[in-house]
Amino acid sequence: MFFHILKKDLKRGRTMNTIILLFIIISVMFISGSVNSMISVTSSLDNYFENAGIPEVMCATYNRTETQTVEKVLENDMDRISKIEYEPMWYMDHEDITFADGKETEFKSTIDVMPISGTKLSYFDENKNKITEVKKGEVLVANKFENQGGIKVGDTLKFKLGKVEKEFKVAGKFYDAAMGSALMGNGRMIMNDEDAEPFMNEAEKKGVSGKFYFISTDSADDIIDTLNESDLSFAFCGKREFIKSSYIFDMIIALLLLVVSAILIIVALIVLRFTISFTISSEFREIGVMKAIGLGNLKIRSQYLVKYLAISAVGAVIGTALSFPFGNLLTDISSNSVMVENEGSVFTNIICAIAVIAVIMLFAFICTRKANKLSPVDAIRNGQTGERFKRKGFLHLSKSRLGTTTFMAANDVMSAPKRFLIIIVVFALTILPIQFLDICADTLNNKQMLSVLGCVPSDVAFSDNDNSYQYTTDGSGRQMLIDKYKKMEQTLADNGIPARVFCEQFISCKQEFNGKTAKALSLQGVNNKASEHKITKGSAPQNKDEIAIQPNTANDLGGAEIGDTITVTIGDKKYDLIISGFYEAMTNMGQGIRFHEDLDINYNFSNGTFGGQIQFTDDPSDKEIDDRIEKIKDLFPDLTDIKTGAEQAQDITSVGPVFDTLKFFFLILSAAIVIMVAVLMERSMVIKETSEIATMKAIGFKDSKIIKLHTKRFIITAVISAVISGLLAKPLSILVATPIFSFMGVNQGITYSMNTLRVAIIYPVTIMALMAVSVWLTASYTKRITAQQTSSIE
Amino acid sequence: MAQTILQVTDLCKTYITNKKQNNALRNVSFKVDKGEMIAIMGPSGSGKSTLLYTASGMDDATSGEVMLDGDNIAALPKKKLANVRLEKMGFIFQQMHMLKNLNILDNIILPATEAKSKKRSRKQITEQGEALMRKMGIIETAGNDINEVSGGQLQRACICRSMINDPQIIFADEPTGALNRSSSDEVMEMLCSLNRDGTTIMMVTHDARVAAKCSRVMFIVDGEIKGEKSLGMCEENANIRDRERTLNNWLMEMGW
Repeated sequence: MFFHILKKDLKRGRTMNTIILLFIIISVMFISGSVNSMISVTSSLDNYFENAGIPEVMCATYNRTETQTVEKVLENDMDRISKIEYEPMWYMDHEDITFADGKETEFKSTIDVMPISGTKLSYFDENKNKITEVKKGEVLVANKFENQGGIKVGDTLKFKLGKVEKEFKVAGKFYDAAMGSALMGNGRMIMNDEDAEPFMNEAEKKGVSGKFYFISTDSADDIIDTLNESDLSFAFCGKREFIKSSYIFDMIIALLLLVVSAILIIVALIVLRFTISFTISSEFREIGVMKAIGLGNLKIRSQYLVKYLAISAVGAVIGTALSFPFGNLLTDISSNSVMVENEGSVFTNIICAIAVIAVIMLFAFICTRKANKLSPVDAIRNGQTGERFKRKGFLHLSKSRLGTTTFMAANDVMSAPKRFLIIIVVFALTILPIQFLDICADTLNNKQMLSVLGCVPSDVAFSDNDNSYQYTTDGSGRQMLIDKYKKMEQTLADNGIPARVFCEQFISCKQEFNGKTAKALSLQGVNNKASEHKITKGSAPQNKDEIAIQPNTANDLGGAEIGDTITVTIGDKKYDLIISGFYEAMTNMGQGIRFHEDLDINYNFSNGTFGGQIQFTDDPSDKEIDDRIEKIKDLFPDLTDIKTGAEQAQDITSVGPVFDTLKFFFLILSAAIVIMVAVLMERSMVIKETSEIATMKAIGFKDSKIIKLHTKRFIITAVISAVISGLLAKPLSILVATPIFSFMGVNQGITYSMNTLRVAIIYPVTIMALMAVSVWLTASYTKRITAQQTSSIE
Repeated sequence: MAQTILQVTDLCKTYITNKKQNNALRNVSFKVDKGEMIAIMGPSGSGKSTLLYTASGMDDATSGEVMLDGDNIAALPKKKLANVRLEKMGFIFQQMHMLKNLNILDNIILPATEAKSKKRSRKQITEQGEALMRKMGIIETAGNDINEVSGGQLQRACICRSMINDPQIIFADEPTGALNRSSSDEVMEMLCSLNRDGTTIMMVTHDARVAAKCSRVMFIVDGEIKGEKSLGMCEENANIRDRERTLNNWLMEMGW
């Protein structure tokens, strides 16, 4: 008899049972997929470094200034080193690798190229297989060239180094653990040994060859100190942790993915709780009847528990099957720089599925417990008019000026706040990550961001191909550059464009204080003043023997403070400079010092620049800036890559496209979640409210009015939710992003920018519109309910 | 000559259950004049509720014509039919179906807020609702929730709701079926009072005591009207026992 009732129940309430089955499938899919993805993402970077063979210390040398090898430098430390290996390579200027038609790629940093036989680390292709060969005439490029350089598989690239010139087909992309992050300036390419040979020879001649050393040691700090004290000129020198921290943007994305996973789990649990309590509350009449005919509480409850066990078992099996592709989808979008392998196992999915079943049974147990307290009559009466005894709304139609459906929708929301709170929470949870991403992307892509990237914010940025100043050994390069910029300013002024032209130069140098050394990349403004930069403590350098320093570098120097004198070595020249203040910049992961503009520095030791900058002094509009950019192109045909300051910030941070992809993914995911939840909740409500809908029809309500009423209920909740999320978006984003920027060396000075139209209007309204359409279409089912069905309990 | 409110001609309703055809109504024809109070009686499964639902447009007819105020409601599109239900008729159910998120007064005035033909402000509608409640003796329950009042009070509230748009006819399906005797008497008294004021009422009942208060009784068996009995208008001081006896004798003649 027990199973007969159960069978009948499953059949009779098939719509509601189908809905709960769908929710269970979605919950299991979300939870299993998300947990798997969480496991993969949290361990991804460590696993990636392990698989790639990244050692404790790495450094890249220039042969042109090399007088001794790393091995010689570390001669006294060899007992603390278990292994030293190196990859031979040569450096190429980004302008020397172009597309076949001569067009420059968008990659604007130095490119390291190496022959395949020289590789010591493991490099992985798109299928996560180790790369062992490169065919002749082909080149493999690191993943970041796609986003940062616009280079795609199948493109043909022309390499030109001195007299050697050859075209290569891009045969594939690879994961480069050492230099693959967006913040590591250089990019790497691998080619066939035979193809590489003439380039290597030419590079030797030109002094642009080098070696990438990999040092395995337990004393990384001491080794770094020894290397810093040497006269070797490094393109890069750092610990494994430093490389790891350069993946900050990838980790931000991974962290966001964890947030998404957590959101999905919360949504799944909220929705499950709703469905179960909603389903059981609509069963009170049945419970009353069973009580009335003498069935005991345990017997009644066990019937529902067995029913939910049966449904959840089926849902868990289907959900588990779907969780694998869903988990992979989540993991795959996490990063194109970090190789994330799906670490989760089938057991994780099974455990998650069992956990979901347990939660469902717990919810069902709690919900049916309410039935214990009710007498048969209570249960039947409640089943007749709803599961609760008292109306909770405080609105009155007689006193309201609202239209009937709007009033009823608002009144319904007020009367069942718990039910609609779920929609508010789900909507807010799905919209907030999009708003957060948009605010972060907007902040990173704003020209104000240049101030924490070591530059003075400017309206326009450009690339200057004239590098001769860098190689003038007499130290006159800096003056040549100032003269050039002054001339440009004059030309601009003559053409009605009042502007200042300047740039920031990166200088390789060594810093010493109290026996501690550091090799932070340092900055000096050309044709601008140190005082134009934000200083977080103390004051900007006022004299040429003063510097500003980043807190991280000061810490590396044993806690140097304002007023302390540090020794800076540039080439063979030493300077004693007084710290006048602290500043913060993300450049070089929060490491660096800023020189006074008058300090005489030999730009032979310049490590380049982010490019020239133009700041208009008459505060033009955005449109005027665009027009002026066109004019500048005409006036200075030698300048390339002329862009706005915001575009410059976007190029430096290099995360714009990733954020755009993520935003799009979140938008789609949020839309899908909101649509699913809205459709299933509305369908549940229609079933539960069949009697009321029939009553409304009996008193003359048109189908369209009832559909409007149902849709408006969701719109009201969505509007409440949108207002809440709109108000919380910026403070929450600042709260979440501050520790991330702080990790990158910037605690102050970030100007958060929010596009109100997008964040507060476009995203919420888009999601709201999708939800409204879904509810509208689902509510159309009410057309099938006739006025006669006033006594329907499904 | 009395004005005809409702004219039903050759009304048929057929259900197909488990591939079996069940003719619930077979060519039913009758008319209802303005101011009448008609009871439909018959044994269980005779088709009396089907007749009420089909004649009121709550359910689709298989064939036939139902003319209400010049409209054939059996052929009206859904939208217009909803409008007819809203503006021209009222409906009272056996179970007192009301919207649980509204209080009693709001439930009563709800149809009026939707009716477009009568231009009334929310204030006027509220006053009308309160006047009806006063008339039905339930004004003190205006602000109550629907589960804070008795069954009899709730049914009287349902009558108020059916009256709020001044309908041409009220349909009632066993309006006292779920009430005890005293509440049943109260509700019938209210319906009779409305009828005396000119409201046309057509109801289904199996209770001769209730039917005795109607001006005419139709007896239906197997989907066909087997006969009808005119009892005349039930005045305030009418002898209900005599009317009930007359009706019972007739019903026995009809084979009930």
